Amino acid sequence: MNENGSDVLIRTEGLTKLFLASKYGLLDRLARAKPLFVRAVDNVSISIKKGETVVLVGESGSGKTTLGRLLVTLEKPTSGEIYYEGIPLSKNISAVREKVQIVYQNPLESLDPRLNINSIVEEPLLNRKITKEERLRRVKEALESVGLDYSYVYFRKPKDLSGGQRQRVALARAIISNPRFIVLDEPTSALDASIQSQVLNLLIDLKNRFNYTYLVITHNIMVAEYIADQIYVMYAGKIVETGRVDQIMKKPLHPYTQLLFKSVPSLRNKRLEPMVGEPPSLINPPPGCRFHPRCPYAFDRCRVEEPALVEVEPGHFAACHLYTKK
Amino acid sequence: MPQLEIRDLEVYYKVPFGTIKTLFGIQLDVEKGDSIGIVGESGSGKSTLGLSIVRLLPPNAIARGHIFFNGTDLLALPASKMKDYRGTGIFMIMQDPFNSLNPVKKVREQLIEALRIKYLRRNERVPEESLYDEVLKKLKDVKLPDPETIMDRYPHQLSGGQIQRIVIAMGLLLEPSILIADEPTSALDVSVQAQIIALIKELQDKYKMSLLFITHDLSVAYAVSEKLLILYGGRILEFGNTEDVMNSPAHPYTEGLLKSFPRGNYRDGKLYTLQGAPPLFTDLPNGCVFNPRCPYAFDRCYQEEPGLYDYMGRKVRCFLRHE
Repeated sequence: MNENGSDVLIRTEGLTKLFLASKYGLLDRLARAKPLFVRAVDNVSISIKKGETVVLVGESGSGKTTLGRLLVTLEKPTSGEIYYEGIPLSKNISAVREKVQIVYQNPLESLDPRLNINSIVEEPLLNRKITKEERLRRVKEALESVGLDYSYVYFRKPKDLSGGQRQRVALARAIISNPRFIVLDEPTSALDASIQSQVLNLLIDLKNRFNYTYLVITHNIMVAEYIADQIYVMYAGKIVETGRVDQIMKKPLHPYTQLLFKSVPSLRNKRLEPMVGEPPSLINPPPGCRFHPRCPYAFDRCRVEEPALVEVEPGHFAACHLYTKK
Repeated sequence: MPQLEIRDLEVYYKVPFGTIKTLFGIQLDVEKGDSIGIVGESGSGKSTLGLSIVRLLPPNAIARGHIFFNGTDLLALPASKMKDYRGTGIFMIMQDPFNSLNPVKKVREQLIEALRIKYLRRNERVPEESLYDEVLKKLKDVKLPDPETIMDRYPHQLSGGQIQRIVIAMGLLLEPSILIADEPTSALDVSVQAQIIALIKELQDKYKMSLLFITHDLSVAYAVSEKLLILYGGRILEFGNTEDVMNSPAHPYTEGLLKSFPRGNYRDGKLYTLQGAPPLFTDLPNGCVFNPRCPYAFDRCYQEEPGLYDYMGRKVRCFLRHE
């Protein structure tokens, strides 16, 4: 978790994002009512190495997408800091913005339905001082990199393309500005099964060619295992476990990770063991460990004291009292 | 006699420039207590198949062929008679749970209404209080926390997981002989998904229902079903025992689909891919529907459509499996 030299691209320290849970208007202020906050991302410290793929797994509502949006400057942190190559983000936000991109889950919703593919892919270059010829050259190059034929797609609208082709367009739009860091929010979950592997292969190809650093958000364990170098497991706004992909897949430490793996359908797993209970409220998170109401191993200490992320084996961290000595 | 027999089912949609055919010669027998996973990609016709069984296809659709439910041909019934079979005979859980309940009625009213219909059809008179108790018991069956409060809520006050459970509870209150579930878990979160699958399986066992589980996700179908039906381009490509199909797929499409599932890490090598994309109903290839993507395709596949052949206790639509 420490910053070893210059191979860390992005590092966060105590990153926290709160959203107002309900309107906080003038009357509330006058009445000095306490505002209610949703603790979407709560004191998260992660580090992402250059050229590596970090995967965030967790249930919906665990704060995965908010963390992704924070890292590409689409959200402003409530507290904590993001360091981009060691420099605090608040000091050079515009320089960082040129180097980060995000690709959303459903390209049919994220691409403008009225623009043609050429305009969609070209758009990120428009407010940079680039000539028209150069833009056209780069659009062709980006579309070619994602395996689309420029002459076939440039005049078409997103609705004229298949799901896989649309996701390739979204990727072309992301890579045209030469980013270094790309957040991929559920990149394959809107795709058909037979298209998923095409897109995963493409993501790996692009990474090898252009040395991108990815943060992939997914709930699909098989996709996570395939694409990841490092995995972070999020639960209720907190990182509960992190490690290299083989460490997490072979020996998940946190009870939440273990239960998550057992409850997700996969081709290896015919007998599913569903997790009990519902994810906790993020307005009023449970005291102590946030997972204790659903945890089969919970004991007294879990209900009062919040576990810290501790290194259980080299490079493999878990936030669970089963692994903290006392 | 099978509970449900589908014979030569074809479905067409009328569009401004003619008709589009979306189901081709579907044959399927559902025995009592069967659990069948119907797997297909988007545009394979899987939802159309479910909707044609309960006859809830959109008005511009035409269904031909026969669907015998306990000997009665549902497709030949007048629309007014069909109502008698929905709910208590065949119940369908729709993909989007939020559209399955009436937004201006409390959960309690809707569930009690379903029960009244059941007893009306059986010509039984049951006091109102016992209806309430029966509903409460079923909501506990589907493991809905705090059912008394939830019964006095409106659908918009509930989460997707809660509504999906209420719809399942409604299905169980009606005690249908066949439960059709169209992607019942795709609007839900991963951890809730496993709960709902386990619940449907458990209740299917308990009430000896037949289950048709429609999904695009082979791993979900694997967890749910005993038999697997693979749909592609409106046709059945393979039908057989789930374990057999998963262990030794007989159709090149099933084989490619299974091979392309991510396994291991990217450092171990690239994933197998099926080239191309699923076909559009407006532009189906000649001969076998899978020929543009099939690695084994030969001349005959481009000229002639293969039949659904018997092969090792399975049905497979491929010339390679036709002895």
